[in-house]
Amino acid sequence: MFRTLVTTTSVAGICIGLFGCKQEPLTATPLKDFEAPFVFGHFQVPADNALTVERVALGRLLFYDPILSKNNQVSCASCHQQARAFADGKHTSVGVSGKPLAFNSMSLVNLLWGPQHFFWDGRAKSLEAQALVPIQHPDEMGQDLDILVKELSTHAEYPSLFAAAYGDISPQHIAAALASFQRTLISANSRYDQYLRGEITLTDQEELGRKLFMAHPDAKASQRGGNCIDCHSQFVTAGFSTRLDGFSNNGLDVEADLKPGLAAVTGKPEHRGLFKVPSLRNIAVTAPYMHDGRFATLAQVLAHYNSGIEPSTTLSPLIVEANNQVSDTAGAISLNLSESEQQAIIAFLHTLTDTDFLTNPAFSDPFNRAQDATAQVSKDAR
Amino acid sequence: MNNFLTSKRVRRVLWGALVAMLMMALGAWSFWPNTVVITLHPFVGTQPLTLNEKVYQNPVGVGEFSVRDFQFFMSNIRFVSNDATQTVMDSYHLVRFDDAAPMALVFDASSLLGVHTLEFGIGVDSAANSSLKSRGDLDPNGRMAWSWEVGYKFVLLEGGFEHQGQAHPLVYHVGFSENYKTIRVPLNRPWYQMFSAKVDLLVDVKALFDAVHGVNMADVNTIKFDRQDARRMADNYAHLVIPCDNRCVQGLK
Repeated sequence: MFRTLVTTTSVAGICIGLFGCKQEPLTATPLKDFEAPFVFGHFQVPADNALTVERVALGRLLFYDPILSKNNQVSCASCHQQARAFADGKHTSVGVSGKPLAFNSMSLVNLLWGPQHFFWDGRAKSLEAQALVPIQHPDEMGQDLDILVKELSTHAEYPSLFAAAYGDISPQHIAAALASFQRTLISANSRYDQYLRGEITLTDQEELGRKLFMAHPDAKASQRGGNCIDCHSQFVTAGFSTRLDGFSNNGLDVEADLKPGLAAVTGKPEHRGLFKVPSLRNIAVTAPYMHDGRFATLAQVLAHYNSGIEPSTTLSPLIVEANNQVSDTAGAISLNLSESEQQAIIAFLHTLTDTDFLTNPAFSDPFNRAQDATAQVSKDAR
Repeated sequence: MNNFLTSKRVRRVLWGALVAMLMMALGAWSFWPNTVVITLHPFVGTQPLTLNEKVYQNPVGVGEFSVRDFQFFMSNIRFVSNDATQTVMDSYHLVRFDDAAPMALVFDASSLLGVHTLEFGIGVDSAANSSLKSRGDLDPNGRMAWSWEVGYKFVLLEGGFEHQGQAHPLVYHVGFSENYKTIRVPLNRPWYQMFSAKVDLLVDVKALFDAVHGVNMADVNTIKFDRQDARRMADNYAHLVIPCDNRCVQGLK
């Protein structure tokens, strides 16, 4: 079922004689072993930030280096830890200021697919645009970009690494390197992937959960469903990539408590309370859940979708209408899944855990500080 | 004769005519369209479709409805003329109306000269409907995909219905290979538009509910996997797209 997509992108240095040459990277080694399952579909890497070995390596160093923060104590990896599929286990993250942030740290996985709007409210239209926001946010990394460029320019190693990857050090190149590394964070060897490749079979419970995940319920046609696929695509398991189709109001709050969400970006009232639909890859290790981390367990998440939906004007009609029973008490929104069906969906969600991804040395801390985080996750899991 | 051709004045006129002809040819060449543009204009009966904001009468019963999302696949577009049929490669186009710009499909083609019929499908043909290959706008991870065991939604309409203070969601997701419908639109163009490469089509949401079978949203507010309901709406959407009529012409002014 899987085929391999191999990109052999390379950087072409273009010189325009009249204006002379800009500083071009000294080396550009195509990323030859970059591959992804064909069922993930097409993806696009920006033409001006083709993936190269040098860029990805630089991005990985920057991602794990606290030099990016004002106090040199917070790195991207502080809130995006590999063992947690690049989430952080907190309700909402905490950065240099010590104040809890507004949102739960989002897992970083398969970012080339799914909504190409980043942050829970979709305010960044590319990974490059996203990268500079937390660096400068006073509560996240609190860094001034000019100071950061100076720090990197006087560093023993970064000047040559930037020269090889991009030619020079600039905020744009810092963002581009971070984006390059993040694009390589591909999770494609979970039990679900192995099942799709025909290598294993799922247990009866997992298979029931898979079928429920993949179906909108239709009591009239005797089709039972968990309604997950209405927002989480079947292979990528993230929101949809077309326009703003990857954002949804999933019934967390009543009308009066709706947060702006996507409306903060679009200004449209119909987007109030809509948030990005995240990937469910490795969902079993990314608790707590939802944009504000309000649910501690997957059982709580399933209970919410089954019988805890709060009505509001922007709530998805797909959620309101989804019911496994022909008729229900007037006005009540409920999937009416049985307890065992909810457990089956949770069992299927566990098949999305990809141990190779969580331990892949290529994604790990190049400064060798990962052991502490891994130990903490193991402790939490117990 | 020789004297005539060699006279300075005549030669000047001939050169002038030649230059004028060349310029005209150049002008015609530069203005000659190199794309064919099909623009789709959405309506609900006589009223233009406005997502979210506007409320419309139930076409075959009591109550009112609003449309939050409306998308459908237009596939396998063919330009039919007397001596040839031009087909479009990987022709699977997701039609939607949530952009400020008009919904337009643009094709590389020199003209529609001689084309008398536009042919296309509503939905996805069975070969593509049972494939995981991404082509055109088909995307197995897209909003229009059900699971790979079922295929694609051909037509998606989601919104709300209200009658006497009672609100209900509207969810119409219609697919299944047997519901792929072919539509042929005659291009009866007046002579002065024979070189035009633009086609304007009208999409009437009302047709989903009343074109062949009455689908009363007060009774049937959702259609998904029930084959009979799906077939009834599919019979209706075989009439979803028609040539622009007066409604469209008014809208275009």
